[in-house]
Amino acid sequence: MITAVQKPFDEIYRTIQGYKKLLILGCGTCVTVCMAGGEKEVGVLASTIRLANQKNGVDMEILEDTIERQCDKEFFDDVKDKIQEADAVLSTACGVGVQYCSELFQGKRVIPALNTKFYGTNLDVGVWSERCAGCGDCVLEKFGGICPIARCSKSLLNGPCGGSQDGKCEVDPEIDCAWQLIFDRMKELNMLDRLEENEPIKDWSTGRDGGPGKIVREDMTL
Amino acid sequence: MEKKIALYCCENSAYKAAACLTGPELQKGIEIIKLPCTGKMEINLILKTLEQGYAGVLVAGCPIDNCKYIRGSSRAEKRIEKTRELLKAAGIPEQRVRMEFLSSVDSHKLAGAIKEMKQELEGVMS
Repeated sequence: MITAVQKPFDEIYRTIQGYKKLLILGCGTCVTVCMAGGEKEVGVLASTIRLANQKNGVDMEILEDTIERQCDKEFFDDVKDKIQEADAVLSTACGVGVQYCSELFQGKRVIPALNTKFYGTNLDVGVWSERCAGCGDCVLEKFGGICPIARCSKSLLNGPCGGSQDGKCEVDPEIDCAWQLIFDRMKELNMLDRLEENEPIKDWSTGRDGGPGKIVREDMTL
Repeated sequence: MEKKIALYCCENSAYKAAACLTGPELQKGIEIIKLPCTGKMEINLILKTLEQGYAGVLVAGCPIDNCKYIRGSSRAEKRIEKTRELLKAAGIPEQRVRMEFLSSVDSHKLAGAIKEMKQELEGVMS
């Protein structure tokens, strides 16, 4: 899923000044699961803003709502009136949801309340960890299911750098060296010989370097 | 009218201690709400309580290592801490939210915490 964290409160508070009616719009999918922008977080943010407004004597009406997904058009139908009615929307969706809301409601100011982080997994209650960089050309088959692009700090494809110490990364001792993990996994799978193969220079144009991505499924289009 | 402190009590400990609070000075300005466990306490609920005009929220639960539901008090403690951080970031006195750990016989400790919180709130809310 896409993970995110809430922006610092003072940054959010600064960006919403001047609006008389604000809609805080949550997203019920990824950011609900990572506890950053779902219905509950919308409630906490709305209450915090109201308390700050009471203290600062700011006159602002705050509406709250959460839709299933802000990255799909149909879910906005339920809140379109509220969006039109509000002076601005403070979205607790990921960057995709914020942009899509802004695209659908031209002329409406849509403000992000979150910083979108990465594609990750939920390791434990309250702990998320990056697993995929969305490079557009998956190499997991070659590395025992551990991604050197997302999990090696330098995205190295032909073994570790000199900064790998005791299975940890030189960037941060809290980070596991992806290449140590790959080595251990390939050994376990009895596939160490596969690591002898030289991995050619990666074509990054399938990911970010190729510009904004687009998928068109002709068999699905109407 | 004087603003009240909402006293959220675990029914296994603090609620029984609160029942023994005597003296108008202690009972005045307090509204007691019973919880099955302080682990039920959510950040949303604390902020909503403040939003509704309460001067402060005092959450009172079992000692950390003696929670009937094992982790309730420690979970509540983390949520109270997070709420205090949110308040501080929003420029609101964090003293408006507080947690106490006590057993059912600790009425004196609860009375002390209420008195102390009232004094703190007088200082920060004036």
